[in-house]
Amino acid sequence: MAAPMAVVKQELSEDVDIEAKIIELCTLTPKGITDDVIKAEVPQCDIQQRVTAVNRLLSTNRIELLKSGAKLLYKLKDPDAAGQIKGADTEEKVVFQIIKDAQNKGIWTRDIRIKSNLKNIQVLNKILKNLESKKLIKAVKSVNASKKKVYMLYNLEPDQSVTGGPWYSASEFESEFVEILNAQAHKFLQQKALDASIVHPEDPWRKLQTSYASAESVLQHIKNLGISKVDLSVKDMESILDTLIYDGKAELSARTSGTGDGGSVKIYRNIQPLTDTSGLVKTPCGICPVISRCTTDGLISPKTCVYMKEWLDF
Amino acid sequence: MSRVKLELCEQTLKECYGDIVATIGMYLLQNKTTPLNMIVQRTKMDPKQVRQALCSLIQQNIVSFYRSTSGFVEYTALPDAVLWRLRYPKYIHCAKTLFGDAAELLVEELLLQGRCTLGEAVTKTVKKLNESLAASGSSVPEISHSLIRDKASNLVRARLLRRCEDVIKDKDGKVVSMTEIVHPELLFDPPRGHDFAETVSGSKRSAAQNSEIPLKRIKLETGDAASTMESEAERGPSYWCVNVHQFHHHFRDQAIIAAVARIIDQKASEVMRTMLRLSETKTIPTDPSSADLSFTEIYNAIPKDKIMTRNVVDQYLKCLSQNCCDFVTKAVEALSISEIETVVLERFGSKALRMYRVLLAEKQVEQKQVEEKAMLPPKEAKELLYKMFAENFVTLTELSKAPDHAPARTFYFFNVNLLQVSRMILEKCYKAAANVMIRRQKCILENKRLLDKQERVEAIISSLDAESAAAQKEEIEQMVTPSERKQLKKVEDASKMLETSELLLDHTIFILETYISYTLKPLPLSKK
Repeated sequence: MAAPMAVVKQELSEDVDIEAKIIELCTLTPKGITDDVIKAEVPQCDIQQRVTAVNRLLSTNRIELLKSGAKLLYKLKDPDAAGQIKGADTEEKVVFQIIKDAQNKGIWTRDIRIKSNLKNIQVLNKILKNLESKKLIKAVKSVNASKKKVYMLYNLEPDQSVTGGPWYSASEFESEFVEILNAQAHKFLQQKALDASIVHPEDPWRKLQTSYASAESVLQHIKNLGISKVDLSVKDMESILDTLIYDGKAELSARTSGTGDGGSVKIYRNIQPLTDTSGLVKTPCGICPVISRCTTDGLISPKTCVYMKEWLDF
Repeated sequence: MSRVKLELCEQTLKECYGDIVATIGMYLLQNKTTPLNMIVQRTKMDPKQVRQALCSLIQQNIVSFYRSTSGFVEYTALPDAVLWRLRYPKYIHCAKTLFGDAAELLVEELLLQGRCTLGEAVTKTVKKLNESLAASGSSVPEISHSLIRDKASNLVRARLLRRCEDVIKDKDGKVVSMTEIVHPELLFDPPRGHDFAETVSGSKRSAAQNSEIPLKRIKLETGDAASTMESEAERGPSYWCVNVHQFHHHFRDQAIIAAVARIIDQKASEVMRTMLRLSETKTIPTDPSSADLSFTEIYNAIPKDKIMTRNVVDQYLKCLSQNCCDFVTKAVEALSISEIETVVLERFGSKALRMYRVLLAEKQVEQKQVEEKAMLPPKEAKELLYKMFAENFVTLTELSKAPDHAPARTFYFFNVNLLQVSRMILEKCYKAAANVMIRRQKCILENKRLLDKQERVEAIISSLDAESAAAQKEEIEQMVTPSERKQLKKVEDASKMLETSELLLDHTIFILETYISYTLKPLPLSKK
């Protein structure tokens, strides 16, 4: 009777050893370890022992099993996550796992339903509500579709693709912010052009060159003004300057970056429109909404036109 | 030709030449080439009146005539010539700025007459100038004929005036057709002594001509231009008219120069002006690019009063060539785009303009990309974009991934068809110009009684002036009541505004027409 008991005890302690070893290996390589690694590190155990050890670890949620190509990977599970989800049922665990995998990109309810195979929408909604009330996950409105809510872990900062970058706040496009930056950038370029014409009045080529400004210098100017609470990147500034180009208030040129790698920086310059306002839009006809129905003797006619009357009476 | 353009032609003809001429002109414009009988039959007008109307239209260079293969003389109207009527003030102003007062009067005379001999025009100009001198009471000696004659020669050399097309007569001395222009250079042959002869001595002319015709024909066939001109010397003075194309060329250059001044500065525009002036005589007007010029050439040609060193000129040229908005390479296109943009700006606002320029720059853009590039809130962007789409300022290309064209599997690209938009805006300009004219006529018609009264009162006052009866003068001035005066002022302001907008509209029409004609003829026929 004693002998088998001893064997069992020995086995148990061996199992615990193997488990500890696997955990240790997993902590050493956070990316995950393969079965071969365990085999090499714990040569004393046979395949049966390894399987039981791994299974136990999996069932206690301490490691997770991932598939990488044809091989299986064992990876240490986030201990807090395991802790957080304590006391929840399996369904909640599954949903939580799916949301966690989506990371800061978030995941849509329908996708959760498909992935988790939870057919009942009400059940899913209840689970999500539960998790939300426990402050484990949060719902974030996506900019791409205003009615679409995505879920992600509570402590994560939403990705740019969800929030829309610096131009969005609370998933609303901040057109005022963009307009202010646009106006300030324009002002900066105007000033630059004015300065250039004062510094080099007799030197047209240098005057032209100094009237150009790079995106970085405009960004620096904006930062100094302290308009923006958000930290803007050069790329953000370039897209603001691009709107100035599209407004016809600036033009783009390129200059070599000077680092010797043959790269170039974008430079911008303030310009004026080529022509005055067209004669057409100086008459009421140019902006008339019913011009297509205007005839000499019709109901809408230049003879009786109210727009013309207002225009001439001013 | 579009209905709107015809309408504008009709208004112009009515205003300038009266109802009868307008009816005949409109008939010709609508029906292309028609013989006289047909015009009489269709318009149901008195043949005599028709003849007279045709005469005045031919005189004004609006109608041309040729003998058809079947032997009839057929008449054709030139719609563009009608619309050039709107530009007369500009031609006159242009001549004034380029060559001074005498040139202004010469061009004005020729424009009003349509075509006349140089001698006649010179005489009238001299008379007018001396009259104005006498009126202002200056002690400047009378202006001589020879001075104005030189002026006229200058204008011809600058190609602002040209000879009219010759006419071909049949055996009985009846004019049957206009000659086709074989040698364009002949039109600008400098005037000779006989061109300034004051009156057309009818009997002598016809006598000389009768004997001349067979000879001339033969010579034309051999292509011997010089001897043709000699033979013409015996025919008495030829008729001259204003060469509008050269004026248009000048307007185009002016627009380019003004644009350069806006994107670089005043001095750069000066350099540009010099370049354009130099290339003017070297380039064929319809060529897509101007003739090559050397630096020394440009430098030497810059007017001396604009102090510029070699270095500065060199730098300006560098600026011009480096300017990345590729304005200099495609000036006319850039100008017309700019015109279109101002229209978009006024019609749809600055946000719409931003999207419009995104479309112009990126060619084919999806709606979402437009929003992102223009950095506009999606809702607003959508609204504006579809508004522009509804008014045909932007076009849509559908590119389906699947053959079923299901919306979910289709790309929708927005784009701008510049030529189409230019045409549309051009049409709107015609419409607006016609509307402005109609409104002005109506305005004047409504206040006809008042205007007549004012005219009468003014006439009386000016006749009284000589007698200097102050009290009497005041009494008559009182005849126009304050409220009437107010109304008169209003009418005056209104018609002034309408006239100004007519001129401004014409500028847009000019730019757009130039752009369209340049784009449609990528390879113009070279006139050699």
